[in-house]
Amino acid sequence: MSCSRSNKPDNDAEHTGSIAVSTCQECIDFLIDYLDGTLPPAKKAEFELHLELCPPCHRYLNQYQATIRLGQHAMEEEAAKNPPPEALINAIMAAMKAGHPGKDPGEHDAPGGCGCDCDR
Amino acid sequence: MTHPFPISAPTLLNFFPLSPYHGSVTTVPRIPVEPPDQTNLVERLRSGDAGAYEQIVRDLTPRMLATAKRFLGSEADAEDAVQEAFLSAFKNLDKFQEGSQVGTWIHRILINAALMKLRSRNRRHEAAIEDLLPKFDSTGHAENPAQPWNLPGPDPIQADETRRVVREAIESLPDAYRTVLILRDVEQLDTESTAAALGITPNAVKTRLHRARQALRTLLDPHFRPEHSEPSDPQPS
Ligand SMILES: [Zn+2]
Repeated sequence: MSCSRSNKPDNDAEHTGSIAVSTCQECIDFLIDYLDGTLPPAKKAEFELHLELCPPCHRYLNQYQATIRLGQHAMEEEAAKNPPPEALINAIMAAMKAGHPGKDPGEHDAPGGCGCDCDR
Repeated sequence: MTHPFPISAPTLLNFFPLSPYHGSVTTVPRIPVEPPDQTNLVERLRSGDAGAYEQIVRDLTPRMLATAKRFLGSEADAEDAVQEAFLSAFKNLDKFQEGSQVGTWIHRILINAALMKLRSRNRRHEAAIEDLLPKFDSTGHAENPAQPWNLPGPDPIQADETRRVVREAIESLPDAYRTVLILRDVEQLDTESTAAALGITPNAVKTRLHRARQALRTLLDPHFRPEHSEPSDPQPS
């Protein structure tokens, strides 16, 4: 392997801020903090050194970022394509006219309000 | 589950702060949440102008429906959530704060409506996310180091196919992870707003988001490997 190894058989990868980014596991664990820009400078330097020395982790970082972009694209494109369904628009307008928002005050002038939970 | 239906407006309105997300990894241009013409819109709504109601419903519904569908999957549930959100917003216009964006306000109500609906329905059988996370040996090395990907080019047919594959993969994530991924990466809420919307801690949001992204990467891995290479990560059961 090209990346630096930790020889401890059970390294304690708690995020205490004091442990070097010495293994791939730690590197992958810190990925989100690295991308959020919340790694302390020393930790960030260690992280980047690991990436430089470890092609699989570097690849994983790129694929992790690609995954975020792919997810956004997959979800965003959907909204642009579809026109609003007329049946839904009509249902919303009808439900509204049936006594909810400030339409006809007359609809809500019965004693004790209209019986729904609309505070009238 | 015991959540009432329809969900009461005050509950839907009890939402997270409207802080914008300024994360470093969101690059996709957003479809606007706001209606194009907001001149006196809230005033017109408050005065009961039917034209204003119809305008805002038409302007906002496509995006709201797409958002609700991401959380709920089913078209019918998504339509219910959109309707609940509009009715809740319209009857609580007096609670809308001047200076805010009315589209953003209604969109947040919609997210709450969708999340409440998601919580109220029976949980489907969900695979454990652990199977989709990278595994490491006792020295901290990946058991299946990442292999190169061939990402699709600009060909529109290929791009459509990719979107379908990615959507299906996202839909297959367990609810708890899918919702965080959608709120953070797609809806672009910040960590605090996501935590408030879900009633969990910001740390839990970060952990779930990281796991959700890793699991999604694992699900996409076989699709983007060059042909003839063996998948390195376990497939979902
Ligand atoms: Zn590594």
